[in-house]
Amino acid sequence: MTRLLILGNSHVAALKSAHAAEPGRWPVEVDFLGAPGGALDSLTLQDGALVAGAAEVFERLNGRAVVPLAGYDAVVIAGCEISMFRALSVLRGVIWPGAVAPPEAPVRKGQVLVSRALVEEAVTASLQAALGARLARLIAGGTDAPIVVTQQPNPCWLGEGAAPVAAFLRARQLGYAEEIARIFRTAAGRALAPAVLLPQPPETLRGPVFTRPVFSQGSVRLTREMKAAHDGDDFLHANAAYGALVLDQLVAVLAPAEA
Amino acid sequence: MDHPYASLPAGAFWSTGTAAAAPAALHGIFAPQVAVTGETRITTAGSCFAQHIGRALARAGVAVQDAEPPPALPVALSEERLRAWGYGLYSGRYGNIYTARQMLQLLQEIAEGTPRTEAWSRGLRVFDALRPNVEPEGLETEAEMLALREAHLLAVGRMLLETDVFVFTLGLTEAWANRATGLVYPTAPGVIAGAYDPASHGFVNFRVAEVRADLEAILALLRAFNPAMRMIVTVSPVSLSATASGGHVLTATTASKAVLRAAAGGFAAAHPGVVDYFPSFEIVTNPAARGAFFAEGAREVRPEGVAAVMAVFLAAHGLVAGEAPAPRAVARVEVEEDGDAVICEDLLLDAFRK
Repeated sequence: MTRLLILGNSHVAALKSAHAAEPGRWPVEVDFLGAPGGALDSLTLQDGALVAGAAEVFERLNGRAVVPLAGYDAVVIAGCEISMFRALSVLRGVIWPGAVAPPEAPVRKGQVLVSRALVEEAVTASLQAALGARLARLIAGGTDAPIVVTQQPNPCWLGEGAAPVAAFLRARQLGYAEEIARIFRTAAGRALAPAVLLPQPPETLRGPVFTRPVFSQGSVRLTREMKAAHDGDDFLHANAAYGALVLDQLVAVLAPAEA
Repeated sequence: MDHPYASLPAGAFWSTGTAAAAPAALHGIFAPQVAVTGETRITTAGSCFAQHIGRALARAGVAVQDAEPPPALPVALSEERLRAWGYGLYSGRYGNIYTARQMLQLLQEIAEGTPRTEAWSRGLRVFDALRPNVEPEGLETEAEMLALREAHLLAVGRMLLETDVFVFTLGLTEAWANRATGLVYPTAPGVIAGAYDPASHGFVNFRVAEVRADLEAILALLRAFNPAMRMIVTVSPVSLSATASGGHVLTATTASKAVLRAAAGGFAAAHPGVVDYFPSFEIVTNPAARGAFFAEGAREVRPEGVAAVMAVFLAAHGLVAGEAPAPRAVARVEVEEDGDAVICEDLLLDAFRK
């Protein structure tokens, strides 16, 4: 049976809770390794094993701080800043012609008009610096197994008016949401190579940049027991239903013969 | 016995001015009429050698203008990538301007407020024929190209309103033009993008009178932006990478540089106090240097050559060479080790040589 190591930050909780709810649904063996981003950043590679500098955090959340990579048929990185936030934050400084209609619409203060290709390169650079890409490079040094990165879910549609996701609302209102989502996917593909990006399951999307509430509400925090729900105004995390669809995607990609 | 040479300074004699002088520290070769201080707002443009001049001036603390600085990004692109996108090469993202005619066209475009370019294609991508090397990936559509060109013209035009001294480095006399419109390109069609069509594209080799006339028109247009603007013109010592004149590249280079040198000298002489000729070409090609200022291949200028050129310029203006990097609008720009690479389209001709 295919063995997967799924590691990630708070976004790994959606996958872990889905797997805990229906452990027999996927014909794969899965080990989860979750920790806050800062702790994941403490991982180093020693003799083919991931070794956590922040050992206490890993011990508390996962019961171990050393994870040999040998024996895993694939490694999955969940979330870890591989996110549309990265793409939209680039647009604080630049915008491409045609992004907003009509084309002569004024550029925001501080925003410079550049080519769409340059926006894509800037998003790629931003994603290359993201935790998920750094982890992918680290892990690639310790295994020949395929590495897949699942995108951090887009924010919940209900959070449209909330300050943390204002850039998503602006993208929708100004009409470039679909295009920036396309730029994100292309840029992430480039930034993560040879690791592979697994985009958000299409059935969970509400428009190009939001997640349908049914896949966000009831999300749980990354704890050892996985029982603490996020606050109701958390629009950034996905729930077990979302995680189940991502696991479906993963099995289809990594263990198609067993699916 | 008295004679006209008896009281001339050492620099007037080949033996003392050149043969016995250190090529890297020539004295008296340049007496500026156009003052440059740390407060002088300088705009640079020209052929690839001008990139060295702009950088050295910025390092010396001169206020080299940048109409189109790298955009603010969450993660800055590396210096190498920024240069590939045309940032930090000159005072605007106009790429290399090899001929006086190209420079004139750009100023006319700005003055008229209307882009006057062509869309060149490479595969499915579109390139601005007048600056094909500032978008390495090309553009999506002609509309995108025109929108970006408008923004470029606007940014450069605004900068010219606040320019005190315009430093222009003449590089070539040979160029390719659209036979119907007369539009002169920085590269031959087909080298970076576009398709060469003998029926549409013609070779031009500007003569002294033409270059001189273009320089006069450039000055007039620049002074329309700022009536007090002055110019420093110089000739690039970098040889042609290829000639389409039908002759040998060495004689073509000599002819081209002679034309540019004559035009620039005459132009400066006609505008005392307003236009200076600065002898970059002479300092680098000085026979007494025995080729030491040229890199492998005898074409590109070594850093020592650039240093010799800039030492003369800075000393003549009472400025001091500096090590500090050029000021950047964006912090966190990564500095590459190979930071002095020059972006030069005409090198591509070599790459495309049959």
